[in-house]
Amino acid sequence: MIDRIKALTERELAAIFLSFIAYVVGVLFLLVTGMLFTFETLTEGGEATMRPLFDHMSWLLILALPLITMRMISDEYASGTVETLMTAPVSDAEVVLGKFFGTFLFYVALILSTLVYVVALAMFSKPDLLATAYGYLGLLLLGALYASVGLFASSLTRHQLIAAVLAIAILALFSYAVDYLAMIQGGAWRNTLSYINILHHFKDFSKGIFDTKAIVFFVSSTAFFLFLCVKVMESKRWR
Amino acid sequence: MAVKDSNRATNVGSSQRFAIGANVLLSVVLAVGLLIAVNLIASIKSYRSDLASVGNYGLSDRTKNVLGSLEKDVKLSLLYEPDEGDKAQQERIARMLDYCAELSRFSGKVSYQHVTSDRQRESLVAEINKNLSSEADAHKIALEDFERVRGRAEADLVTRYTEAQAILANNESWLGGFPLFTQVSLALDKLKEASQEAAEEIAELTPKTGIPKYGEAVTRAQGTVETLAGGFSQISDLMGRLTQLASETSKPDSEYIALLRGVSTDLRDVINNLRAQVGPAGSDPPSDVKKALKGYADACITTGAALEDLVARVDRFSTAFPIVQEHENWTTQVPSRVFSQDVMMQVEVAGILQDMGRSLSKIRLEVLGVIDSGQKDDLALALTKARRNVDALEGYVQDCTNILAGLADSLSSVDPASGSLLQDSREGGLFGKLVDDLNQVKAKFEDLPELKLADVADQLKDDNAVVIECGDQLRVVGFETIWPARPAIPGLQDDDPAETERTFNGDSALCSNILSITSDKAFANVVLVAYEPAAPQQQSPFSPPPARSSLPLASLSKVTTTLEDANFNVEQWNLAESKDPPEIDNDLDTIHIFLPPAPPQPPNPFNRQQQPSPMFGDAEREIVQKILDDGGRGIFLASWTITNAPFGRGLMASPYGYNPLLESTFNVRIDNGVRVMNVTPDPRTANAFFINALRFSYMPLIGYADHPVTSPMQGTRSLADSAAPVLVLDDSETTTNDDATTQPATSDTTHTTLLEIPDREEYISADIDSFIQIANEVNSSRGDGALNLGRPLQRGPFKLMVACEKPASDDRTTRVIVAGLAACFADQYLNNKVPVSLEQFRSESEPLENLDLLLNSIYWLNDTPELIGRGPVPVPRIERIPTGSRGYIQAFFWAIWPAVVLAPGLFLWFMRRR
Repeated sequence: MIDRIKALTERELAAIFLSFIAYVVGVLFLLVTGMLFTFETLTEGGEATMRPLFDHMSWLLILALPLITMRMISDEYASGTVETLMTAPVSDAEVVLGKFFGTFLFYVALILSTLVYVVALAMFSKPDLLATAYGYLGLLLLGALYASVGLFASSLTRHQLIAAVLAIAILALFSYAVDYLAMIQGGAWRNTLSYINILHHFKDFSKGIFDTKAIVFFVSSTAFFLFLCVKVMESKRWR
Repeated sequence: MAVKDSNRATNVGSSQRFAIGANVLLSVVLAVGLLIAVNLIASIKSYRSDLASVGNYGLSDRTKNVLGSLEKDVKLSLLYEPDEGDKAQQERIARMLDYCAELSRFSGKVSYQHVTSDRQRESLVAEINKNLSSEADAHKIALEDFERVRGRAEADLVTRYTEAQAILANNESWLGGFPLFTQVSLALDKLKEASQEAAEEIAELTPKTGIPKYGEAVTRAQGTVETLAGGFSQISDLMGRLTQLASETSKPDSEYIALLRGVSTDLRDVINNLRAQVGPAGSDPPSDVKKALKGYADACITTGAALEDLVARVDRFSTAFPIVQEHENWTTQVPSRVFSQDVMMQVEVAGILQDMGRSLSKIRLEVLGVIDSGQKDDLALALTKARRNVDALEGYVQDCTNILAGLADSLSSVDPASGSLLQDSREGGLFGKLVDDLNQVKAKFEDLPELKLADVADQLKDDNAVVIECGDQLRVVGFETIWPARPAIPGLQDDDPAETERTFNGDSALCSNILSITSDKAFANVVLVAYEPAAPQQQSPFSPPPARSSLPLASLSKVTTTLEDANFNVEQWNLAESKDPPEIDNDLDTIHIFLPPAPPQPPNPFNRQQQPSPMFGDAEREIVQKILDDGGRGIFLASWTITNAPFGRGLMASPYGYNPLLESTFNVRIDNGVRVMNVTPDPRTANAFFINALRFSYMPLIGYADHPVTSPMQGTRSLADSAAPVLVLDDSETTTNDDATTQPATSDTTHTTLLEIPDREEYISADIDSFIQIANEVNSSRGDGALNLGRPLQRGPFKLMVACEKPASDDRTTRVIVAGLAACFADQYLNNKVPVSLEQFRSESEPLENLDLLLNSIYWLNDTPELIGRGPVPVPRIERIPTGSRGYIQAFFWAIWPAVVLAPGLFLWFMRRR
């Protein structure tokens, strides 16, 4: 099973690296984060912390990752290769995991490319490397969740654009919409809405606060959306 | 397997489809349930820890300890007015909310709410008002009592004022004859106005809605009580004396009225004898002028004696009733010459009579001289002068007779209106009952407990504040406390930034307040030990002013309030007044803060026989030594001070009275010969520097050690004035200090440097001569602040704070902190905003962060370092980026790096196209 997932991951990773859109997304992501970094973080007398950039990345990725994942499954539907995939000796879960890991590895590469900011910061100050590393761990968990949502959205439609919009909408719902609702609600509702706010949990990582609750949230949510994605794939068989 | 499933799936029937669909649905529902369960468990059993080494966002250990031991619920209300356009404000609010969320996440007993609209603020105020009402119950009752008495007083004042006006309108009134009564009338009116004004102000201070300022209202009422009681007493006293007079003079057989009439009658006869001797004015001179003049001279004696008798009779009246002298008829206007000018002078009747007597003796002597000479012309001239004198005397006598008769008439007849008022004054005094009641109210005010929440109303007016409520306790933490000014980075940041940069100190600020309002018992006693001899009662203008401590007890109200707010029991001890420590009725440990003793009184160069002034010396040091020997804990505060040298020999640095003790016990001393100061070096010239007038008095303190006391100060803007370095002496070193030779301490003393200004060119030390040059430049309006002392500047490092520990008896450790920073704890230093730009008149908040240094020291000395606040976290800053590098950095991040990432993509895309 692991071999099959590994093979699928490699296939998807190669597909992403060979797609022009991934590079466009990557370059745009680096351009925007680069500007934000030089304007907001790398300022004389400013605090030597990556936290503001992490916070910016968290919303930038809401736009960026769905653009990477949008074609993952919808393109299989549109091009008809899903039939081949269904007849191949792999389960739906393996297919979804392969695509997920492929996306995730590309995302890891993208995030690793932002380590140059940390290097630049270290050249002019002494940033807290442990807190920074933990922030990066948060970015990875955040990316995993975004990727799983993106895959789920992609599994719902054969149109890439719709998949991207759908993923962005879901992510926006679980970050900004619930944040707004939590603001206007009180009591238990506020707590519940705050809890399902993705960015609320990510803030702990960007602040350097280790909280098992946040880790469980990201891992379980990622697993849940991947599970939904598998179920959607399965439903294609009997519909 | 998947192939088989796939084939089967394409041929599923509707029932199978339903079954599979139901299966999928069920599994999704189960997955949702599992997701919720896992997250629920994770949120109940979670582990949370701050990984950041700068500890910026999590809770400090102290806060966790405090929250962990909370027994009552604590509610935080965040007051702010959201401003969408103010990014800095939004960031601060977000940060504050994050922190409150952390507090509430850590402890279920902490909750927080946003107060952003006027309506929410009003409802918070109403809630606080409700909670505060019990604390201010005694104040409310006292104010109600005051209002009752004040109301009665005002009513009485209105009545009496109306009566007085009616009396004054009647020209014939008995009381109207006393000009003093007009002043009484005016005083009644003024008291009435003062009473009304007080009522209005107190009503404003204690509104029905909003937070009443009972403390201020009571203070205002106390002032009014004193004004009213004082005014009433004076009026009652005056009216009492008038009543006594009226009682006497209105009697039909009044002795004194008879006296006045008698004097009036007798006065007419007194002059007749004189007239008989010299004859009427204008008549022919007698044949024997000499004999006539001789008779006149003799008559002068008898007339003078008669006048003296009359004066004595009048004086008897005025002695018995001094108030009678205030009657308008008691005096009259007589012409007089002052500096060759004719003026009218107001003179008493008795005075006129006395003058008449004196003039008679003078004329008599002149007449006798003329008689002795025997010259005919002179005798004729003397006769003429004598006749003129008798004319004048007759005029005076006539005046006095009229005055006395009129006085007797007016005093003997009391009109009904005056009589009524005087009658009221007779029965228990005019305002006697009111004065008693006011004094009772005053006594109640004095017994009122201090209101801890007195300034809540003012604090709630701030746009940004946090209200902490716990039961009936409440604290308001202001914006400046939560967001103090960030310490400047010397040489990196602009000396005059457009906006004050701030740092987050919420953890320390909120936790300190939560700690103090949730603690039922004081942490320790803090005794402020001073040596302040009383100033001589009669100060000669030639004496030099009395020497004062650089940190007198009277200037420590801010320190005292801070310590009390932090739950310490604060006492004062003036060694110059009592050799015994203050009695403290608790079993808590005591921390002493030894304030700089007043320096010796300079001798008076004009008084060789003077008594030596009381002086801090061995007796006082022995008392302190005993405290330390018993394992005492304390802080020795000193600062660099200058005094006038004796005999006008300029200025000298004041010796530090505790130096002998510190040397012999702890091997440290204050180097009172130099002052540490902050300057801006002039890179163009050696030994030259610029003096910044603002930094002269507000020297930024840097170099805090990683020690429980000082590590929280590393991210804090703390400032000092008149800093004196602390010297740690070698064991072998024997020093001769200002007033004693001391033996070095034994080597069992451990020294820990808490604050040491590093060797930086911005910090120098100046001796008295250098200081005078620098101070002259600072005070000069023409200078540009540039100075060159012509000699190398003494650079650091300078120790400003040193902790000393040594074993004491009973397994205790004597522990003291010696700091050359006394001046920065004085009220006048802490109560003034810190100027940051003279050109723009811009200033930052008061340097209250200094108090944290004192508070941390006390916690450490009390063996409770866990209660020391974390302070603002010193987040590492980005240093200066070379101007040229900035462009390269931007080019790299905006173009090169994205291009590097894009390049493989382009290459692959191109290859695939081919």
